[in-house]
Amino acid sequence: MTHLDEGALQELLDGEMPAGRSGPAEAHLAGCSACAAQLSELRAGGERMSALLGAGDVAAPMLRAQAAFHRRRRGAHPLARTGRGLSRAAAVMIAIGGAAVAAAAFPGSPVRQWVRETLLTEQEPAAPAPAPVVQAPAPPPEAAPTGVSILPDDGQVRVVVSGAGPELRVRARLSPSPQAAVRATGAAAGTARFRTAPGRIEVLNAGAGQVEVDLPAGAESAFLEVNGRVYAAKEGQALRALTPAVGGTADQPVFRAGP
Amino acid sequence: MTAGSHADADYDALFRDVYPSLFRYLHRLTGDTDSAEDIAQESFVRLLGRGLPADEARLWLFTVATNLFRDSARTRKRRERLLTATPWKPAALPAPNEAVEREHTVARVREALGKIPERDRQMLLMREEGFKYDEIARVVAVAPGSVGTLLARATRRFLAVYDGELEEG
Repeated sequence: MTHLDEGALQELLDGEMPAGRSGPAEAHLAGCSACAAQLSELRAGGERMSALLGAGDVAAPMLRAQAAFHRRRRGAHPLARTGRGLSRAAAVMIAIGGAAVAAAAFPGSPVRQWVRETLLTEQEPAAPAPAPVVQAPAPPPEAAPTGVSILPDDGQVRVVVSGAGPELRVRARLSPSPQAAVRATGAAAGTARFRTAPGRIEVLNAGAGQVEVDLPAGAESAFLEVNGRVYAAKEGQALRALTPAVGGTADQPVFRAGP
Repeated sequence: MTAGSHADADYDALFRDVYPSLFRYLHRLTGDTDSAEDIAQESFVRLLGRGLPADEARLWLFTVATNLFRDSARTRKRRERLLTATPWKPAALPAPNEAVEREHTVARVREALGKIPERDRQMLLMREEGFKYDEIARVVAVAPGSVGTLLARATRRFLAVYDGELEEG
């Protein structure tokens, strides 16, 4: 295989390389010191840039912004415009009704004749209109699973899921593959972002849905960390759950990513 | 629950989920808290009544916010003033005080962001907020397959300008 270009290496780092290309690319990386060195350089540059950009961050003014948004929403609520529209429509209807009543009061008036023929004649009540058929909205297309895999670094591997909401489920298991792999499915496939570092996969911004974590059984040590807590660790040849699972099986526990 | 209150709940949830990220993005882009707050607020107000699903709404908000930032001459002037107010001079390093050093770093970061091409800046900041390549590609109008290469170059360019090795702009 030829060397990996800069774009491919960046895709690997960001977990954006399609599954069909990432396997061969990582196999090449494992045996090519030049590409591995370039990957390390890109990773270091990205981490340095992230740290620099974050140096000036300030906390978002959530409470003030939420209050302002509530005020603007009330001001922009369509009900207010509808209300003004109804007032004008009501005034027009009252004027027309008044004129009709006045016209109907005159004997021989065509309006009086129309009122007698249509409003004062008993008629068969019309059959109720059939209820409109409402098409159920089509479910949104589910995003294709996304993921990333790495080889352990010096026998160590750690998968870190950060900022996960309580609705996220994380399934862990030991895998015969030499690589650690993470796959986001369901809603998480559309939101999760991946970062890799030597022996480490970070999963950021996973909302609802599920994250599937395969830890290599051959690694010397392997951990799954969620929101700052170790949820599972490789112990001997088995996976040990360090927090209560909410589903799955003993060797493939499913955790809730609660705080 | 009425349809209206459901929509209100959706807006509340969306605001809670997206606002911190949008504010951080805009703060990095403008270098100014007030501008970031104003543009983020205006973006959410423009979203009202559009009925976009949450996953589309996030990208829509960032796109609108970026356009508001770009189109606002007043904001641009303020940004340029902020970006050039504290140019980095290696010979005039302040005393080794942590807070002062942080301010110095922040000023240099803003200066570097202001000097790299707008597309690079936008791609880097969007990637930092967790957008995927195909989303970044849609907003900056490039081929999805080129995003990796462009991001790698943009990162290198930003760091080179930050380190004073490259003059851009």
